[in-house]
Amino acid sequence: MERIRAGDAAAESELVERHGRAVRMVLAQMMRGRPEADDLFQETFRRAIEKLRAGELRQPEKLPAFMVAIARNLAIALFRLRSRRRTDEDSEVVADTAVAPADQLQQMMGDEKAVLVRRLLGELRNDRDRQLLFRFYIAEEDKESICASLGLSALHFNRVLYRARQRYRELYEQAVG
Amino acid sequence: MMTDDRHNDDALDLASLELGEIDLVEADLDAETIETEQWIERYVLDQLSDPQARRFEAYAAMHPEMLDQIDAARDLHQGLKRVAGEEIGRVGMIAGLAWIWRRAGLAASALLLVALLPALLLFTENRRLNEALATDLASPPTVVLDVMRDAAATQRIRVDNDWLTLAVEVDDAVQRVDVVLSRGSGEQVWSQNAIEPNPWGVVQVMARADSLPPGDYVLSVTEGTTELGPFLFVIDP
Repeated sequence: MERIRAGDAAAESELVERHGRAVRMVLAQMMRGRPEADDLFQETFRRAIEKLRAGELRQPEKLPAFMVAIARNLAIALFRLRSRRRTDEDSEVVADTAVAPADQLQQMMGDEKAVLVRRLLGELRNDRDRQLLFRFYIAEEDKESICASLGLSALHFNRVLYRARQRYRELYEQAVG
Repeated sequence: MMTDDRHNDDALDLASLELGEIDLVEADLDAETIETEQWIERYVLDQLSDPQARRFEAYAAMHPEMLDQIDAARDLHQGLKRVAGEEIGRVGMIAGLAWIWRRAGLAASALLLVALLPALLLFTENRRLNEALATDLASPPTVVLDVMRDAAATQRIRVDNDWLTLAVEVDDAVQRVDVVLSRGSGEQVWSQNAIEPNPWGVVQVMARADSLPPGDYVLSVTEGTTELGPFLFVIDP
């Protein structure tokens, strides 16, 4: 932080390197594939550097939280600005029109994820676990109701979700070599 | 070109965005709570409140391994959506499922879930597309039949479309089934042997509505010598 305050360009690059992934995570969550995510990423770091230079953050241990908070605030501010400008349209329409059409790369990545997920589903021991994944991730039923209707313990539920995530990562890492 | 124009507008917007107060929340979560309360998945599914999401993001920003977990959950979610969409798209049920969801107002019950997944998906993710499909496509309404052992509980169906799809969920282990559709009087209307359930364990039978005049029906589904039904329903006038 001191180096950034002193105008050290290398420290700014280091800031991006260290916190870029967390900022991208927030923007991926907030922007859902909208093309402005890249611009917001740049803007997040521009604002952060400005604030750090101005000495607005005094606790270095808070820097990660500071970075993701700026990213979230900017995304929210962008949505608010849009909705103010398009007062004649409802928010759903705004959201729909703001989504970028899937490009070829996104399509390809989506295909790859589907292949890995199909493989993962094929490896699950029983249909109950497959149902659990769909009901939780797609139908967005809550844990209690899924456990009650499938006769599962909370522990089993936690285990299936955890293992699915771990296994997906393994398959992904194998796939990307 | 239109996209470029919009993009330029957005670039202008960004500099004028009001950042507001930076709330430095405490990253006071722990790994066990995150796992037992499904914070990762709930974050990806947008089920956390804004303060919860901020807490979680602050924690994740300080724990790089958590970022891997979030990526995995997000990919898994997107992959599952794609698989569900492809599966149902393949069997041409999208509009029919949208119809049953909208018309019957069905909650996600265990039995119906597999068949209703894409309808839920479309309904929550792209309501306008869903409505357009349901309105514009002349796809058949789909009726998911439950096992009816009590005649009083027979499912009633009103057909106001040219086609009707009957769907029955079977056990995962079932490879092929023989299906016989009969009138309540016993007169056989249609039969087909060795029908394979789709990968989600759903057996579907599509019929022209005019081949099913009002009355009682029995859909018999058997695997070898094992009866998986019967499924009773009434076509209302």
